[in-house]
Amino acid sequence: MVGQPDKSKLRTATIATGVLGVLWLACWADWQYFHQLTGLVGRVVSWSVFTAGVVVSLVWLWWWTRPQRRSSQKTSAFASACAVVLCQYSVFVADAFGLGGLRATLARASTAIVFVLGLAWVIWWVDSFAYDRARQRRRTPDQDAQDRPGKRIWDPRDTQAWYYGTKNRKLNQSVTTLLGYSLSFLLVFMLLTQVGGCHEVYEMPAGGGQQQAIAQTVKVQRVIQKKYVINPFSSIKFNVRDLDDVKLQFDEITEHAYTVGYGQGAGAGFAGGTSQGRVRFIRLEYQGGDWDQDFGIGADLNMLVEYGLRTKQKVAERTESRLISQLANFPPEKSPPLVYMTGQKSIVVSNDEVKVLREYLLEKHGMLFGDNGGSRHFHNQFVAMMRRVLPNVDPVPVPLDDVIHRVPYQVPFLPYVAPHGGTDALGWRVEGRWVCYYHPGDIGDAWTDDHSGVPKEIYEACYQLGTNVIFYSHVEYSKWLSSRRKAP
Amino acid sequence: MAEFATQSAVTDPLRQFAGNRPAARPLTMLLTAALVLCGGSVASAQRLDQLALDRYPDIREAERFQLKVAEQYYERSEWKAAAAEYEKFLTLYEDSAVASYTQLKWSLCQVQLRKLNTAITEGFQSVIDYWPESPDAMTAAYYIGRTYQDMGEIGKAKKAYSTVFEDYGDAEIAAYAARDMIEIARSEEDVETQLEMWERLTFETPRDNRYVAGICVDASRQLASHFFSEGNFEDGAKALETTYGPTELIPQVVQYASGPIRTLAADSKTASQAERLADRAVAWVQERIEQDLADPELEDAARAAWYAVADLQAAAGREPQVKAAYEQIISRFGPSDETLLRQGNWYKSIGQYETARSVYGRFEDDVEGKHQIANSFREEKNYEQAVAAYRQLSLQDEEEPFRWIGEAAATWRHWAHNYPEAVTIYTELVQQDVEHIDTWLWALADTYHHAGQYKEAIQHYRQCNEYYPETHFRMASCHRALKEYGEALLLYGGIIGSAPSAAPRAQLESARTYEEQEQKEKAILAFQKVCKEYPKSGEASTAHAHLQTEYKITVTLGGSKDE
Repeated sequence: MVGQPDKSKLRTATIATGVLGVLWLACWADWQYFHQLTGLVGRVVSWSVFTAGVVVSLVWLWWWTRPQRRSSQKTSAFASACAVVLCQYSVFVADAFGLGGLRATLARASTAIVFVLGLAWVIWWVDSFAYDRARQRRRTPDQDAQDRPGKRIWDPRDTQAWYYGTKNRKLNQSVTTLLGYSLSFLLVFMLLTQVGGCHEVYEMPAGGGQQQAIAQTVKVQRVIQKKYVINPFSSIKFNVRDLDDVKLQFDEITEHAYTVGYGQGAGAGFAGGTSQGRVRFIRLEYQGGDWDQDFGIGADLNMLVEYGLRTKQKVAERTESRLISQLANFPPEKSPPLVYMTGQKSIVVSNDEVKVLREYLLEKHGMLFGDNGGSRHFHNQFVAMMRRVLPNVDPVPVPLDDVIHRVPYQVPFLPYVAPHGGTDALGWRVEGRWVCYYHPGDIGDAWTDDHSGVPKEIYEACYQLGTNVIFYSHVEYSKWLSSRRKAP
Repeated sequence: MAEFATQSAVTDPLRQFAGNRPAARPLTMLLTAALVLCGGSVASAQRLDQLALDRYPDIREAERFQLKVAEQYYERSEWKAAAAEYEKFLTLYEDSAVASYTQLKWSLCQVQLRKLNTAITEGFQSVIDYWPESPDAMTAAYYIGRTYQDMGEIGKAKKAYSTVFEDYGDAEIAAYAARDMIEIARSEEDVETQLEMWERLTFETPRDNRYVAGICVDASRQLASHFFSEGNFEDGAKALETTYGPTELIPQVVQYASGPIRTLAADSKTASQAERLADRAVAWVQERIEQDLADPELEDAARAAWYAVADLQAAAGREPQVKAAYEQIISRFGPSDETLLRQGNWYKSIGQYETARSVYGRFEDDVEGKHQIANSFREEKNYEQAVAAYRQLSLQDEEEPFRWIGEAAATWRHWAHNYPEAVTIYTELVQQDVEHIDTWLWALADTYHHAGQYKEAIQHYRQCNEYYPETHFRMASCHRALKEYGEALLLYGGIIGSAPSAAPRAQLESARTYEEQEQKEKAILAFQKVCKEYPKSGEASTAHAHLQTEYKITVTLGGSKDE
């Protein structure tokens, strides 16, 4: 490719690039929507294709920018394609390393870059055409069929198009181009992010188990020392141990006397799950605040890992985020049983998002785990949001002896990092099920690597409570699936 | 029926209990104790969670001692200890005549300990299962519903209340269940059930127990408000008739009808409905106006009825009719101060301040009239004239001259935000009114503070010993404004050492002082100290969030648990 290749080599390189382009698109679609490339092989394929895409596009760019082939248009086209590939790669890498916050920022920046690049190309395309037409008109004013009197010009690239009026035609064309492009971009963006892929599925890990509290036992082992019978009148002095001297061995054993799960299957999991299913931790993205607080590695991923270790259930490799509107993409029996929402600022939720959330909680049998990340304001915002989502359900303090505080771990108190929204966990209950559990005291901070410096007893209880909430939601979902499948 | 009007003000212990608000309990206890001491009907004043006096003779001496211990813990809101003592009672005296009662109280302790499932399954249900004939079984049946409601199990709560209606429909406990059903129906926007329960409580429930009477009074008012807002005047008035006697009925009807009339009149779509409602209300009142004015009591009742007519017309926004009503009152009963006050206030409400002042000027009590005039100037934002009027009042009122000077100062301070003028007047008060010097010193210091004269503010705060530790917080705030951080930190340190309840706030303010000093490390340590030493306080929440957002520090060292 480099230097002066002959035509056949160039054709081969072009075909190879085309094939890579198709592969790249397929991998991108999978990464974005289908999620079929899982496991080691899947990861290797994704990484290989995306990395190859970056390398090849950079090589092509370098080749086209060599002085002997300098063509400004083609160079710009390669640079644009290269920018798109690089943007996608940066988001992919951030996502792969679980850097949720960075991923979201890069995704936004990439969208902006793609928008600006597209706009530049559209302007170039329209202007080039308009310039050519104007030049053509100047050269052969009588031969231009388009300019025949009584015939309307419809082509928007032509400034003489009838709908641009008679004054300020160029300005009108520019405004129309900008608006038309922006609307088209918005439409495509919405199609790709909202409707694109249409369906996403959540599958619980297959298996079974019992919804019971983990038994904790303390064994006390009494070690009786050898006893000596001594003649008190002996002339020999003995260094005698006390007769009651016994050793107590305190040995705390936490044993899983049962499988943590729900249903009849083998291994820890849930009835209605699949062999490929995993427990995933999905947080909701919303406008107005810092939805990505304590997101990803070293933060909520710790909770997911702890859940896997404690319950022996299969869990996802990283935590994820979705827009509220994306919850609509999940079908009723393949929806996430639990979504998490945190922050410390405002929560801006549209009426459509409220509707999606309501449908998710009530019709798809989902559950929302709210966590106050740092202010009374967030507490008020969350409660107000829930009032919109479930107007006829009042929040109540969650009893400390509720199953959500007892299974699999007994947590007979509410552990918190800071009492931002009081010291009572609130719950919204519909038909005997908690559809929302709100923790007022930043439980997410206790899950981080440094546990916010809280005592061990507190962060351990926070992990236990997190485990309970995740487990509760999955059990309830599993019960619902079973009942739906039994129903005629 | 008239006595029920006052009964509604009595705090309902059951509601407090259900809402986990032990702080308000002493008030109820005092009220109950007062009723018993006054020789009132003891049975009728009994709370749901209290043992009836007629059951005391059945308790043996040893049982009584143990029960008293448990009850003392219960009244002191020491729920764990109380539950343990009730449990001990049950273990020792399983066959006692009040075993069911102790089981009930144990369950109530579990509710307070937020173990609601335990309370139902091991507590209330046991009372019903083991002592089905006892009076406590009835109470337990109700509490099952209430506890389910507090758990958000609305379906189960409704079922439990239905059981109460079926099994104990004639008992007082059904009134509590009906009240809670109204609460649920309101949340579910179920008007039909609300109406059914309101009518049951208003028209069918005997009001022998003062707590039940309070529930019925509230229900009758809510029912009346509902009918009035629907434009149904007659049924609304009937609902209120069950609660108020003839003398109180008219003003109460006006009170509850005025709001709906005003709301309906504000919307052009319902304006005609408001007109009809107002017409019927006025006609209803006019029917009841006493014509015989020989007796002073009857005269008062007639005057009150005319006031009601004026108020109803005002609610409907009919100015000519309001004017006519007041003219009628003045021509019939003479221009009393009360009539003039009402008339003047109405003129103020429609923005006619000058006319209002001319009305106040006709007051028989000249001081009160001028007071109203001064107030009207102030409300009109005519501060110069308001202050002049208060000054004039101080010269005229020999009994309370300083009260009016204080009003003049407050007008400059709080209404006009003219601090120099306020300072002049407060200084005058400090020198002249020695009896209330603390109040005036505080006001003066506060004015200096808001005016940005921090040194003067500190001087005066220092003299206000009555308001510690707030004075020290204010002084420290002034020192910080003057960049005298050391002084501020000393003051906060003093508060931390001497006023434990204000210590979290003082510690947080210390951290903020370090921050203003740009001593980041000390500020961080101080914020962390708030989280570590006062993890349950609101200040810990503020400090935790501040450390995270401003300093990107995640290790805040807080954390606690709510047991």
